[in-house]
Amino acid sequence: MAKDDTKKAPVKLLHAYWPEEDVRVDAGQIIELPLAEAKALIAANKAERADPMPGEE
Amino acid sequence: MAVITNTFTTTSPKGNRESLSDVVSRITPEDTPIYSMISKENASSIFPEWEIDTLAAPAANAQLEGDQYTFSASAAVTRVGNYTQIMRKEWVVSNTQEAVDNAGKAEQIKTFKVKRGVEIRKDTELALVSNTASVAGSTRVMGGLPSWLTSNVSRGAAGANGGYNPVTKLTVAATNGTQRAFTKALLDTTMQAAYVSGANVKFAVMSPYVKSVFVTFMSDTNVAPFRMAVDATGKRTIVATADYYDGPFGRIAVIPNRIMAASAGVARNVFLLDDEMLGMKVLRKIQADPNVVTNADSTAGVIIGEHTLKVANEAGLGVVADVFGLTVST
Repeated sequence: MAKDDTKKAPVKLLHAYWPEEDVRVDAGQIIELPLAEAKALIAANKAERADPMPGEE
Repeated sequence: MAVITNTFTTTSPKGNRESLSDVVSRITPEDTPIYSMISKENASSIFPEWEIDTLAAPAANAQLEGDQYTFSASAAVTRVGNYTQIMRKEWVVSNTQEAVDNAGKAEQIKTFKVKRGVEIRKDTELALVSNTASVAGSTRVMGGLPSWLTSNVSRGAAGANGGYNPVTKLTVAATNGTQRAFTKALLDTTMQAAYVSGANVKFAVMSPYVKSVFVTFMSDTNVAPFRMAVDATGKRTIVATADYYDGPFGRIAVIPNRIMAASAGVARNVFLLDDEMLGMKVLRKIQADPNVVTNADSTAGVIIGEHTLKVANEAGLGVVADVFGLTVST
């Protein structure tokens, strides 16, 4: 099955992040990012998962 | 044309003297703009620290007549620090080589010592402009300037700040974003952010290519064109440079940094600096170790120093990150 590139995941930023050129989102904010971008940020310790835990949905 | 048989030419003799000039050409750049402009302060530990204080934001302030005082809490200052980094350069020369007559004296101890000293200064400049996180431990690494800057920052898409972490007491490297061309708008926006933060930036330090992009700002419709007096009898000059930028938020000197041409990694940032917000904390000055012994028929030397970058307050500085720093597309 092909990967869904449009799927997004919420992350809580640990450092300020620029989803687009010159568009700053400060640390502490929760934003939805494409999966690959979210994974890269989490791997770099720049964000943490902010998706609901089981039972919270 | 022909040479008469048995003509004794320069390819035959054994006794012709060589003619080797005593002038040795070396144009490798030695300038280190940031390291040279910032103050040098003594450090007394491998982790010099300093404090950052802030004022409360302005707020409406009208009080009731005859009111009883209430007392607000005071915020503690923020404590930050950077680990010292040991930098070293060595050489070893046989005593015979030192004794022979060397043209230009470029391959003898005195010259090696001077060259290694200059090279360490250049290594220091490279460390200052590199996006390197600080590292504690035995092989300590100073956090480079890009790893400190978080307040007055412009980044490309998918870029993320690094910054100082007060829990780990380490800086974190910034995440590179998508590169873009350096523009007057990017410079103005970042200078505005710095001005609002309270910064008084005095210098923009950039790679040589970015300086060449900067001079094209003079074609911007919002920039006053140069008007040069032309002497009827004199020689004409094409003026295609500018060394200062007088923007909406102050006047800055624009300084190209040859060290920032070393790689795309260090060329991608344009630093907005105030020399009063930066310093080198020096634990050991860059100097020759007088106690080097080879136990051989040779003379060795070591130039060594230990120091770190002090970013007095990162909000007093700025960076336009993720610009094409080497060419129009790199």
